[in-house]
Amino acid sequence: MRRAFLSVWCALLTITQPFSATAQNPGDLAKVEAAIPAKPTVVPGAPRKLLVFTLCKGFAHSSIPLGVATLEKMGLKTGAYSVVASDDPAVFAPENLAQFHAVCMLNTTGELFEDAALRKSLVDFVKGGKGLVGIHAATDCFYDWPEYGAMMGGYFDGHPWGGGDSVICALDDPAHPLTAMFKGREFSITDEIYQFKPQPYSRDKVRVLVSLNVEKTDMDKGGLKRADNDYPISWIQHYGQGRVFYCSLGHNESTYWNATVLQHYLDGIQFAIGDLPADATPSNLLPPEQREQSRAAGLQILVDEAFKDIAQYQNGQDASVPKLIHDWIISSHEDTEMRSVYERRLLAVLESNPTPDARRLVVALLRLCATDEAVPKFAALLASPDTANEARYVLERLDTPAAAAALRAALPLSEGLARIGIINSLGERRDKESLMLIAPFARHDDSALAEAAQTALGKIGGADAEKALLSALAVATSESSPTLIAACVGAALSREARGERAAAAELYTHMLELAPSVRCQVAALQGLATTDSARATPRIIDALKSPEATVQAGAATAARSLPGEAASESLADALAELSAPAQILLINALEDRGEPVALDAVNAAVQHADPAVVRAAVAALGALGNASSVALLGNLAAKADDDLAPIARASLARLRGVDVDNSIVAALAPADSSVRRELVRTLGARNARAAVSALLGSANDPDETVRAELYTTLAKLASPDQLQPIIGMLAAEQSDAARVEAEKAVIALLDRSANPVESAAIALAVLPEVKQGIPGYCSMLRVLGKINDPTTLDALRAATDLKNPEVRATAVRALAEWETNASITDLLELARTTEEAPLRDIALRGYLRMIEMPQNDGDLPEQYGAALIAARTGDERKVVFASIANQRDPRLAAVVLPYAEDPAVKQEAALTLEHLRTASISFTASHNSEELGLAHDGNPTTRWTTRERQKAGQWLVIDLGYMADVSGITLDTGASPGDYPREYKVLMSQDAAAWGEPVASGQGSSFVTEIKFAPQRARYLRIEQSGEADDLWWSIHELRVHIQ
Amino acid sequence: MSPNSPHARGTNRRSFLRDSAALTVSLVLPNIITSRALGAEGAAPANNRLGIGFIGMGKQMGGHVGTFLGRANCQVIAVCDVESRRLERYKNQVNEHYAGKEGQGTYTGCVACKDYRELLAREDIDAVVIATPEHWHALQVIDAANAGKDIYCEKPLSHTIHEARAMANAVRRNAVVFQTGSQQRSETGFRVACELVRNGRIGKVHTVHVNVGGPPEECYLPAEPTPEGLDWDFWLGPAPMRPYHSDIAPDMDYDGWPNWRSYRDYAGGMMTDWGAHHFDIAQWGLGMDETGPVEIYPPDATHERLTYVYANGVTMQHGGGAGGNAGVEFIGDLGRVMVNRGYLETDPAHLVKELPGPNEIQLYNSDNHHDDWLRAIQTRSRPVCDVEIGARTITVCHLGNIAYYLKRPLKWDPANERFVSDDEANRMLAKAMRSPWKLNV
Repeated sequence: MRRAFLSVWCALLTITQPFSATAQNPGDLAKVEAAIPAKPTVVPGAPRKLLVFTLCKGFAHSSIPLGVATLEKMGLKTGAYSVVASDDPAVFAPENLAQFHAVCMLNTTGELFEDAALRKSLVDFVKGGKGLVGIHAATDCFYDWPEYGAMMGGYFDGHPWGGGDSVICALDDPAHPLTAMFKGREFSITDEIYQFKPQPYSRDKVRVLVSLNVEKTDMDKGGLKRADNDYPISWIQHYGQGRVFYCSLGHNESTYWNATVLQHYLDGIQFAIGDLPADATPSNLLPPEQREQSRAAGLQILVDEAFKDIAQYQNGQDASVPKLIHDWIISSHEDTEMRSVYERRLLAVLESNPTPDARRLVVALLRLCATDEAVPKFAALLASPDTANEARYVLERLDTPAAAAALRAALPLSEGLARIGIINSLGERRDKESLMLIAPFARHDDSALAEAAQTALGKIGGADAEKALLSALAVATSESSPTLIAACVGAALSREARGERAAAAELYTHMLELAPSVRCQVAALQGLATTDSARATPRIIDALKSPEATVQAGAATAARSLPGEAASESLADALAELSAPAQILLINALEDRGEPVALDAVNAAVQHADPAVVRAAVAALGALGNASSVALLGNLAAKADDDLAPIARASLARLRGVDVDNSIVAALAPADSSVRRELVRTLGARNARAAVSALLGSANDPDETVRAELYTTLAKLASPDQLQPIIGMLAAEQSDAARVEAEKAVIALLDRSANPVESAAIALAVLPEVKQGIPGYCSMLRVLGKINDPTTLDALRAATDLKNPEVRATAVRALAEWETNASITDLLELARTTEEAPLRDIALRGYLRMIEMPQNDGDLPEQYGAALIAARTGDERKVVFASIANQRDPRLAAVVLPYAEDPAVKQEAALTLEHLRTASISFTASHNSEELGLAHDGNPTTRWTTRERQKAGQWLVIDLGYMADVSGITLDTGASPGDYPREYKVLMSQDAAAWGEPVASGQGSSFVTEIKFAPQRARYLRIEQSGEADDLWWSIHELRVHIQ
Repeated sequence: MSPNSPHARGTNRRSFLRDSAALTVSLVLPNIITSRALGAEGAAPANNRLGIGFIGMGKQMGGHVGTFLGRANCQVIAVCDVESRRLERYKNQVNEHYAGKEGQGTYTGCVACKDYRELLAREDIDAVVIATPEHWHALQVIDAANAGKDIYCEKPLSHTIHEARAMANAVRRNAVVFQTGSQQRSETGFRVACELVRNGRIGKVHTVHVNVGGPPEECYLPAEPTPEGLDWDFWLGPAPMRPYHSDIAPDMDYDGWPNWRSYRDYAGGMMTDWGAHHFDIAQWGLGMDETGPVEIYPPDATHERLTYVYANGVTMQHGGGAGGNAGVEFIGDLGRVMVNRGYLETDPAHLVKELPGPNEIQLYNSDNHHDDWLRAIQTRSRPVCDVEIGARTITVCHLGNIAYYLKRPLKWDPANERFVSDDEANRMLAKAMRSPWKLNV
């Protein structure tokens, strides 16, 4: 026996070779090396040996070699244990096991061995006081040996979360020594997550350490069975005298370079070996107060560790700790006590020599949550150029006297950028008490410092600040920096913000008087306009007279800000005194002000000698004018070749007032035809629907161009119930040019009408009254062609028998363009019997158009056969072939074939045949539409698939391309035999819109699903998959449609 | 007194604007532009054109440069960036453009400067286009306004709510023309959508859904070596000091959008980046351009998504709606209007054709955001996306970000632009700037 064992042992050593470091991906190993803890949590009193067992009778994890290497290296580096790895059951012989302190089942799957002696040996080993460690699939084995399940603590029951899923793991016992490495934090990991069978796993037996956070993890997964939502990830228990540690993580390679998980493994192994003592009272047997204590202690650990970690944070590292602390600060808004704790902790981080990145993060948080508690700490940072900014970030926005006092106190002690920053902050705070500290700098030689002080004085405002600023302004030159002017404006704005308009106006007036530059003058004028319009108005008028363009422009802007109608009046009164450019500016301003009181002045400006002024005035009339402006604007708009015309036209369209449309109507009759035309057009542009009845009264306008414009306007404005008079106008229209517009108007109304029966009655009643011979009659036929009604169709049919060729052609064209395929028989008959080639061509093309309509349910070979017989020339047949080429019905080949040798159409026939041969069905689907071709490529090894487990809402639509009698579908899942549909339904449609009841439904049960049903005529088939399959997709390697 | 649709009107802006040729659609310009006339050799540029300077030569500016080089009434004078390669590239592009027009290939007049204040100090520049990262906008806009320059500033308007107000004040007091780069205001579909809503075509509006991305994040990126030619300290400007990383400020040759947009120290995430478009349209459609919501709820047990409530009871949700194509979906008791770029749909469908007449509300009609700005510069009127509009819109976006950050309901006073009884939220209205940077108003 001894000898036998040795030979096994030698074999083992060979077997373990592939797992050793040399066979591993060096990159992975390097990551593992970096992640392994440096030292053991407990230094063992004597060398410890760990047997790592890796036999797989079921699925073999690719991560096993890396797992073995990891456990080996971790033991070696920390000195916690040494590893012997094996996949030979013989290692469980009692005399061999005796040398080990613990056994680790690493991803062992299936029924590993049946030898009762070996099984007993392992039980005795554990019960006798040794350790058992399980990693990942250690619960996916020995299903036939219940004691193993009891010893390990559970049996695998599927993994709802696959190796690609990210999940959130929660700490069940944050104060437990075996969860210390998690520092109280839940964590995210990408790994396969197990579900456990109802037995033997139980919180009555094991102490759960980590489990899935079901609130924060995607629970929309197939195969979830735990009604209690308990998905444990690691646990410990006592078994006999022995200790068991199990962790279900360890499917993915990446788990073996997750430093925190490795520490968890290491501590678990040390627990199992017996070096690391830990309470294993089953979770459910813990007294409530102990659980509460653990929760409280866990919170303490969480906070302590997070604030410890953030101090060492470096950008680029996982940011979960900074984010966690951020969340605490935000969520503690109403808990002042907790806030205070966090604030002190943050301040303590600043004292603990944090990294620059940590400093930045902590200061960012204190910007929001600092209180006076933080002021002394930041006050101390203010004077140093290195830290002054971060202190200001907090203190500037902390709205307390202490923060202001700290800034003021630091001012005399600081210099350079720090001093400028402090002045800026005091300015932003509008800190009145710092006025006297800052004022002396306002005229400092250092211009940056002086400007900072000026801006701050402006923001602080008040009488003293204004005095200081004005005295600086008094000695300023036109070259002076704009900062001083902006500071004066700032001081005035703070007056305005406090509602002290008079004081603000006073300051603006001083600025205007001192104005060292044009910019100062412009700025002061704007301010004065909004704070004291009486004082501002004459100054604005003066400024409009300035020779300086910038001043004029500034005055025009200020003119827009003056409140009240009186201001418009004063400005309008001054208009005539101004230069032409200033007039233009002021007219623009008056237009924007929109007050009609300026109308007279603008009307006067229309007579100005400068055409640019006139243009501005005419444009302004659009905003300021009223009904009285209609005549003037109408006349201007009617002047051809004048650049005023488009401006006047636009103004006419803009005129506001309820009586404007009426005035336009009233102005129509007496006006010239060119003006009438403009006015009619304007009513259209104005959407003047109320004017339609008046327009109908103008139908007898003697000028055909006015009538044409009238029809255009009616086309836009009239409603369908005004069809009768307008169709009457069409019937009566004598001018060809106007009739074109009248016809368009009637057709526009028909487009908006929802009542073809009524429209048909009106149109047919008018038909006999058409007076203007052939063109009028044709016009009316075209109108009939737009009314989809049997009576109008009959009238058109009758018209095809009339003698006049123009009338006949119009009727045939109307039939060919009919909205539905109702005239298909007429067209075929016309195509067959008409002698004139052009008319026959129209009829034939109309017939083909109707064959191609989706609602055509005739027999295609028969219909095209008739078309080819009707076609008399090669060219006509080519037209038929072009239409056939739009079809996909393979039976059409038989119709084309007889022409394959006809020299006149040989080539077209061949192309059409080739098209029919290669045309194939097309698909759409709920998933992966781009791969649909693979389901119908004749290649059983390629497939279309949902790439998602089977569930309701998956579908596939087949477009055959023609109406066919379909009797069945075959779905072949070929090389993915499990991917047959669990529940299917088949629906059919002629148009992909109306589907009706399913023609077949059922469940697939093997890799070929044959679906048969009574033949039905359809072009589209829809297969819906509504069943559920835990892990399997729905795939189709080849699809066949059975057509009768 | 609200600006209405602009027309060909009188002009005035230095001699450029006084030239009567500028009044009509086609400008009369010298056929041959000499390099001297364009400002080479220190000479003043041809003074019948609007002198334009560009600040921030990143990906977004590329389009603007092309646009204004193509406008015969504009003269590109200078480009500005804190990274020397970008500066060089755009300077060359401008020079080559004018040299090509001149036909002699010798034009070298484009000025390149690193410090935008140098550009603003130039007398020959009348107007600036600003396309820097968000945390720079307020500083540069206010300084430009104080220098009397008309401004086209990219959205998002500002980095904080206080900045937006300061920018509006500076623009108003300096009487400069300001266009916010929320150019959806110049797209017909959005205007029509808002006109339909404003004129009650869908009845009384009760809900709006705005589909844009989320708030910004803290930046945890590690340090990378600062590229040669980039003044990283200047790039950061008022933002806290941190080491360079290419994700924040990518190399010039990187073709994607830079990611400073995602980080809290420089920007407001997609809430401001896209919010400046779609929340802007929501504000327009609701007629809230001079005010804003009064309550903001982050997602919680009773609010599936971030929800704003206006004083009139209308709620605006961040996300949601019928889905599909809509960036903004307005829902009223008689129907819905759904709109996005190149997409406008109404329910019922016929509403889309029911455009308002002159006695109804007609919104400012601009069909080109750049030309609208140029037209406003001529007439001294307010363009379609004036500073106040930009400020109110970006305030909505920031309010959402603050609610997301603080994770609790907030009450907002849109008249005084402060949170009601919430000191902590009020702290977030502004950010202290790294010295020496300050808002000059």
